[in-house]
Amino acid sequence: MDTKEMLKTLCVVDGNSGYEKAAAELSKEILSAYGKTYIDNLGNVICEVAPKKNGRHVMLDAHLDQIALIVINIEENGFLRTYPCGGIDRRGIFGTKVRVLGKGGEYIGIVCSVPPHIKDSNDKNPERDEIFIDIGFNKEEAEKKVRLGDRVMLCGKYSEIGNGYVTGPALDDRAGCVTILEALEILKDKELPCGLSAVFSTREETGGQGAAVAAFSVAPTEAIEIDVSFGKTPDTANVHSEMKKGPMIGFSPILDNDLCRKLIELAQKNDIPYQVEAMGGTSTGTNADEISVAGAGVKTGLVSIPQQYMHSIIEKVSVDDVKNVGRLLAAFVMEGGKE
Amino acid sequence: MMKTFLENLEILSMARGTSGDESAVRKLIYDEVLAYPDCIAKTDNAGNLIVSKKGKTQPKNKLMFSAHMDEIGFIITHIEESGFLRFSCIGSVDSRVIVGKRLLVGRNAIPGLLGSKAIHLVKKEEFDNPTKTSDLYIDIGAENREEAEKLVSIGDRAVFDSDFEKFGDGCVMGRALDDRAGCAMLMELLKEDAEYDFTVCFTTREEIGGNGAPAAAFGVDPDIAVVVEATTAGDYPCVPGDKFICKQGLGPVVSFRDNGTLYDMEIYQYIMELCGKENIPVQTKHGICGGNDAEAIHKARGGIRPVAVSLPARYIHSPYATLKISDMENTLALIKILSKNLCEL
Repeated sequence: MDTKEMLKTLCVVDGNSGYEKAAAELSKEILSAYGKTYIDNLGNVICEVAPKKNGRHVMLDAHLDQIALIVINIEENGFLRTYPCGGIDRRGIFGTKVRVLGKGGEYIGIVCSVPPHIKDSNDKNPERDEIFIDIGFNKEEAEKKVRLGDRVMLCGKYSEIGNGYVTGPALDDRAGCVTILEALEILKDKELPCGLSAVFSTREETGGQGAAVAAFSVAPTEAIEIDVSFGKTPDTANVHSEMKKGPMIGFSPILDNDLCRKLIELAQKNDIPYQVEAMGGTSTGTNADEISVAGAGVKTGLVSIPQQYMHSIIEKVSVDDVKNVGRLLAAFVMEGGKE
Repeated sequence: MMKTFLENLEILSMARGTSGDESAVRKLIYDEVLAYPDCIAKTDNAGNLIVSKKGKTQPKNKLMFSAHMDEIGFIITHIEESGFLRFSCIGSVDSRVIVGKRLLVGRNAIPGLLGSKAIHLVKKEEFDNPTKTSDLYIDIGAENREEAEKLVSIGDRAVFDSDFEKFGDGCVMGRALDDRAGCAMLMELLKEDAEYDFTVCFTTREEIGGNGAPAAAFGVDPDIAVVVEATTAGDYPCVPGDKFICKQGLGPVVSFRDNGTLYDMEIYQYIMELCGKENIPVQTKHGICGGNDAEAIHKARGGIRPVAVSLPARYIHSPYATLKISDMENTLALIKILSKNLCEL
């Protein structure tokens, strides 16, 4: 599998929280190569790679959904009033090109911005319900083309940048999905010592409802959540993880400490670079929070890909980091059950 | 084969030319207008492209049209040890349109990311108040200064990485339509045979205060100057109703005043009446806002009668401005009539 190609394949398909259909159908097709794959009632794509064995069943989960906007009203003159569906960054949303997934097709538009010539000196960033889209149609035409609830995808360009990086929208968390595919590729001809399910889950950006129900259905003994986390930039004094330094192994009260230690041990043993991400508080802000308390409880670990500019159209990850997370996941499946 | 108006507009919108670095735009216009009838083009020392159009007769009033070639953007001011680039804005740019945008950087137009920390790490007050431009940086994927210096140099420019597209009901979106749309319309004017001699100036450095136009006006020495611009249409929901200035779809905007210029009242009133007679929709600016090359031009030499004819453009000075094709057609129709009538006035 060409990692860059797979990243691009998964990143350019639409899948906003609660409306992941296009991304889910493509994922189902891809995951079917590794086991029986189905889409459940909340849209999760679940691949049963191997049934439970030796009392152990591992679930690997990454979320399929990406942030976008949702149309909440069609205003005078055909402008669309939208609301974030996931954590839209209001600091830079102005002037973003968008695609409205409307009735009978897509319509391109622009997020309205206020030019310096007429702004007030005390202007703020737009409120969540004050993000307007111009699709160039009057109200009558707009009402024929756009329905309330339609999703508005932020347009970005997927490309390589610098030496070994890729950038574009939706890398949070399609890059996580690709790490699972990397692991499945490594494991495909091996006899697994345990059961294994791969899940591309829905609605993470709006609360993790997808992963919660997927974990109930799969009922694993252990789970690894794969998400993106913060890579250092010049304006992040308290971020210690760096790009290209390998998987970030999470430690948090919600995570299983022994499992996390095991991940470090396996990284060391297999010569996989890694870094530790320690989090206080009551949650990790990822699907790990939902999975760990699903059913009768799941021993859960969290492995993150360092990412810069999360929740923007210029999200950036290192291809090597993606590959190394895949290697760590494969090692965990094969050796994680050993003392 | 001459390019059509929309072809020229797209080519000019995709060209990169921030203030003081307009040579790529100038070359595109120069190469195209060379094929137009009775045009002689030269570049002055301020970088302005001056095109003299020979008409059938000598005019009573010497007439000059102008549109600016430059656009807003960024200039690289420093390369950090970590490989990140620091920058300064060229022209007036609101940080709210730049955070998280993709750029084209330097002479080879490499991708650049106008980065900021992830929203999860942003404090409440930072979230509500616009980010300071000085807190932002450009990421070209370099690991360190040495690697970055192979790709860019201090002084290199950057612009938004935007496409030109038609959308909606007869609209276009693209980068730098302020004022490449003006340039494309004046190219269109130069295509046709002219009744009278006139001059078209494609000017430089408008976005940093109109520093190219004075040289052009001095050199041409006209009686009347018509500035063809893209001006702020604030006819959409996030602008307070009384600040709309002008509206898309209502035709060319003829100014009586802006922040830089009190326009020639006689000609202003003449044009408003002329549009009525010629059945060309026309509007004026509701409110005093913005400025353009007319500010510098009308003070050149012994004084030049200033006129501004603008396109109502939404979202100027951002990655994408939008225009309506019908407004461009109507503005072009007006300019064509003015190229004759103002010579006789």
